[in-house]
Amino acid sequence: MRSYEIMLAINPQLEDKELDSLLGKLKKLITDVKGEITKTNKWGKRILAYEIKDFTEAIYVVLNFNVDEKNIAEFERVMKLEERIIRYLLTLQDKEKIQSKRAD
Amino acid sequence: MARYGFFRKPQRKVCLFCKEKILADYKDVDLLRKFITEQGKMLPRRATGNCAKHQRTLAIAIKRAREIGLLPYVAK
Repeated sequence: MRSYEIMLAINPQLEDKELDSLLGKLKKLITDVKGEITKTNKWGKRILAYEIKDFTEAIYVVLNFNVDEKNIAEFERVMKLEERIIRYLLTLQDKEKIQSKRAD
Repeated sequence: MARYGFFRKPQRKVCLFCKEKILADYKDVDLLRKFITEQGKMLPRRATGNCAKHQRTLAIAIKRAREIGLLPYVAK
Protein backbone atom coordinates (compact mmCIF):
# COMPACT_ATOMS: atom_id res chain seq x y z
CA MET A 1 0.00 0.00 0.00
CA ARG A 2 1.17 3.45 -0.84
CA SER A 3 -0.41 6.78 -0.36
CA TYR A 4 -0.99 8.92 -3.40
CA GLU A 5 -2.38 12.29 -4.16
CA ILE A 6 -4.00 13.14 -7.44
CA MET A 7 -4.96 16.58 -8.62
CA LEU A 8 -7.50 16.72 -11.40
CA ALA A 9 -8.29 19.55 -13.73
CA ILE A 10 -11.80 18.89 -14.98
CA ASN A 11 -13.86 20.38 -17.80
CA PRO A 12 -15.46 23.52 -16.30
CA GLN A 13 -18.74 23.05 -18.18
CA LEU A 14 -19.68 20.04 -16.08
CA GLU A 15 -22.70 20.36 -13.82
CA ASP A 16 -22.39 19.54 -10.14
CA LYS A 17 -24.18 16.26 -10.67
CA GLU A 18 -21.91 15.18 -13.50
CA LEU A 19 -18.88 16.13 -11.46
CA ASP A 20 -20.06 14.00 -8.57
CA SER A 21 -20.72 11.04 -10.84
CA LEU A 22 -17.25 11.40 -12.36
CA LEU A 23 -15.64 11.53 -8.93
CA GLY A 24 -17.79 8.62 -7.81
CA LYS A 25 -16.56 6.61 -10.76
CA LEU A 26 -12.92 7.33 -9.93
CA LYS A 27 -13.40 6.56 -6.25
CA LYS A 28 -15.06 3.30 -7.13
CA LEU A 29 -11.98 2.36 -9.16
CA ILE A 30 -9.90 2.74 -6.02
CA THR A 31 -12.26 1.09 -3.58
CA ASP A 32 -12.79 -1.83 -5.97
CA VAL A 33 -9.14 -2.81 -5.58
CA LYS A 34 -9.30 -2.48 -1.79
CA GLY A 35 -7.86 1.00 -1.69
CA GLU A 36 -9.21 3.72 0.53
CA ILE A 37 -9.92 7.39 -0.06
CA THR A 38 -8.56 9.49 2.77
CA LYS A 39 -9.44 12.97 1.60
CA THR A 40 -11.42 14.75 -1.09
CA ASN A 41 -10.94 18.42 -1.60
CA LYS A 42 -12.91 20.36 -4.20
CA TRP A 43 -11.22 23.61 -5.05
CA GLY A 44 -13.88 24.71 -7.48
CA LYS A 45 -13.24 26.68 -10.64
CA ARG A 46 -9.87 28.30 -11.20
CA ILE A 47 -8.39 30.15 -14.13
CA LEU A 48 -5.67 28.09 -15.79
CA ALA A 49 -2.25 29.66 -16.02
CA TYR A 50 -2.21 28.77 -19.70
CA GLU A 51 -4.68 27.23 -22.11
CA ILE A 52 -4.98 23.46 -21.98
CA LYS A 53 -7.02 21.80 -24.72
CA ASP A 54 -8.62 25.19 -25.48
CA PHE A 55 -9.90 25.58 -21.93
CA THR A 56 -9.08 28.72 -19.99
CA GLU A 57 -10.45 27.51 -16.68
CA ALA A 58 -10.97 24.20 -14.94
CA ILE A 59 -12.56 22.65 -11.89
CA TYR A 60 -9.82 21.48 -9.56
CA VAL A 61 -10.23 18.47 -7.29
CA VAL A 62 -7.61 16.90 -5.03
CA LEU A 63 -7.97 13.28 -3.97
CA ASN A 64 -5.81 11.54 -1.39
CA PHE A 65 -5.91 7.77 -1.34
CA ASN A 66 -4.05 4.65 -0.34
CA VAL A 67 -3.77 1.87 -2.83
CA ASP A 68 -1.45 -0.94 -3.80
CA GLU A 69 1.11 0.24 -6.33
CA LYS A 70 0.29 -2.51 -8.81
CA ASN A 71 -3.19 -1.04 -9.32
CA ILE A 72 -1.94 2.40 -10.21
CA ALA A 73 -1.22 1.63 -13.87
CA GLU A 74 -4.83 0.72 -14.55
CA PHE A 75 -6.01 3.80 -12.67
CA GLU A 76 -3.79 6.05 -14.75
CA ARG A 77 -5.00 4.43 -17.94
CA VAL A 78 -8.57 5.39 -17.09
CA MET A 79 -7.43 8.93 -16.26
CA LYS A 80 -5.88 9.31 -19.67
CA LEU A 81 -8.96 7.99 -21.46
CA GLU A 82 -11.45 10.06 -19.50
CA GLU A 83 -12.19 13.05 -21.69
CA ARG A 84 -13.78 15.16 -18.97
CA ILE A 85 -10.42 15.30 -17.23
CA ILE A 86 -8.37 17.99 -18.90
CA ARG A 87 -5.21 17.09 -17.02
CA TYR A 88 -4.15 15.22 -13.94
CA LEU A 89 -1.14 15.15 -11.68
CA LEU A 90 -0.44 12.03 -9.69
CA THR A 91 2.09 12.28 -6.90
CA LEU A 92 3.40 9.84 -4.36
CA GLN A 93 2.94 11.07 -0.83
CA ASP A 94 4.78 8.82 1.58
CA LYS A 95 8.16 8.71 -0.13
CA GLU A 96 8.82 12.18 -1.40
CA LYS A 97 12.31 11.03 -2.29
CA ILE A 98 10.97 9.11 -5.24
CA GLN A 99 10.52 12.45 -6.86
CA SER A 100 8.29 13.81 -9.50
CA LYS A 101 7.14 10.94 -11.62
CA ARG A 102 5.74 12.85 -14.55
CA ALA A 103 2.08 12.15 -14.90
CA ASP A 104 1.30 13.79 -18.18
CA MET B 1 13.42 56.79 -6.84
CA ALA B 2 15.81 54.50 -8.55
CA ARG B 3 14.86 50.87 -8.44
CA TYR B 4 17.48 48.29 -7.78
CA GLY B 5 15.46 45.23 -8.69
CA PHE B 6 14.97 42.02 -6.81
CA PHE B 7 18.58 40.87 -6.66
CA ARG B 8 19.88 43.64 -4.45
CA LYS B 9 19.53 42.34 -0.95
CA PRO B 10 21.57 44.02 1.72
CA GLN B 11 21.29 41.26 4.31
CA ARG B 12 21.90 37.59 4.08
CA LYS B 13 18.51 35.91 3.76
CA VAL B 14 17.69 32.75 5.62
CA CYS B 15 15.96 29.89 3.89
CA LEU B 16 12.23 30.45 4.41
CA PHE B 17 11.52 26.73 4.45
CA CYS B 18 14.10 26.07 7.16
CA LYS B 19 12.88 28.99 9.20
CA GLU B 20 9.18 28.10 9.02
CA LYS B 21 9.86 24.35 9.02
CA ILE B 22 7.60 23.78 6.04
CA LEU B 23 8.05 21.96 2.76
CA ALA B 24 7.27 23.38 -0.64
CA ASP B 25 3.99 22.02 -1.93
CA TYR B 26 2.73 22.35 -5.48
CA LYS B 27 -0.76 23.18 -4.20
CA ASP B 28 0.35 26.26 -2.30
CA VAL B 29 0.30 28.61 -5.27
CA ASP B 30 0.54 31.83 -3.31
CA LEU B 31 3.74 30.71 -1.64
CA LEU B 32 5.28 29.45 -4.88
CA ARG B 33 4.53 32.76 -6.57
CA LYS B 34 7.01 34.44 -4.26
CA PHE B 35 9.76 32.38 -5.83
CA ILE B 36 9.10 33.10 -9.48
CA THR B 37 9.55 36.24 -11.55
CA GLU B 38 6.75 38.05 -13.30
CA GLN B 39 7.63 36.10 -16.42
CA GLY B 40 7.15 32.88 -14.51
CA LYS B 41 10.82 31.94 -14.21
CA MET B 42 12.15 30.46 -11.02
CA LEU B 43 14.34 32.69 -8.94
CA PRO B 44 17.88 31.50 -8.32
CA ARG B 45 19.14 30.63 -4.87
CA ARG B 46 21.15 33.80 -4.63
CA ALA B 47 17.91 35.73 -4.86
CA THR B 48 15.74 33.55 -2.65
CA GLY B 49 18.35 32.74 -0.03
CA ASN B 50 17.08 29.19 0.18
CA CYS B 51 19.32 26.34 1.20
CA ALA B 52 20.22 23.82 -1.49
CA LYS B 53 17.93 21.13 -0.14
CA HIS B 54 14.85 23.29 -0.02
CA GLN B 55 15.59 24.99 -3.30
CA ARG B 56 15.46 21.55 -4.90
CA THR B 57 12.11 20.68 -3.35
CA LEU B 58 10.85 24.11 -4.33
CA ALA B 59 11.94 23.59 -7.94
CA ILE B 60 10.02 20.32 -8.09
CA ALA B 61 6.94 21.93 -6.54
CA ILE B 62 7.00 24.74 -9.10
CA LYS B 63 7.39 22.30 -11.98
CA ARG B 64 4.47 20.24 -10.72
CA ALA B 65 2.31 23.33 -10.37
CA ARG B 66 3.18 24.23 -13.95
CA GLU B 67 2.19 20.83 -15.23
CA ILE B 68 -1.30 21.01 -13.79
CA GLY B 69 -1.83 24.60 -14.91
CA LEU B 70 -1.59 26.39 -11.58
CA LEU B 71 1.52 28.31 -12.60
CA PRO B 72 2.60 29.47 -16.04
CA TYR B 73 5.62 28.19 -17.93
CA VAL B 74 5.92 31.63 -19.46
CA ALA B 75 3.76 34.62 -18.66
CA LYS B 76 3.93 37.72 -20.73
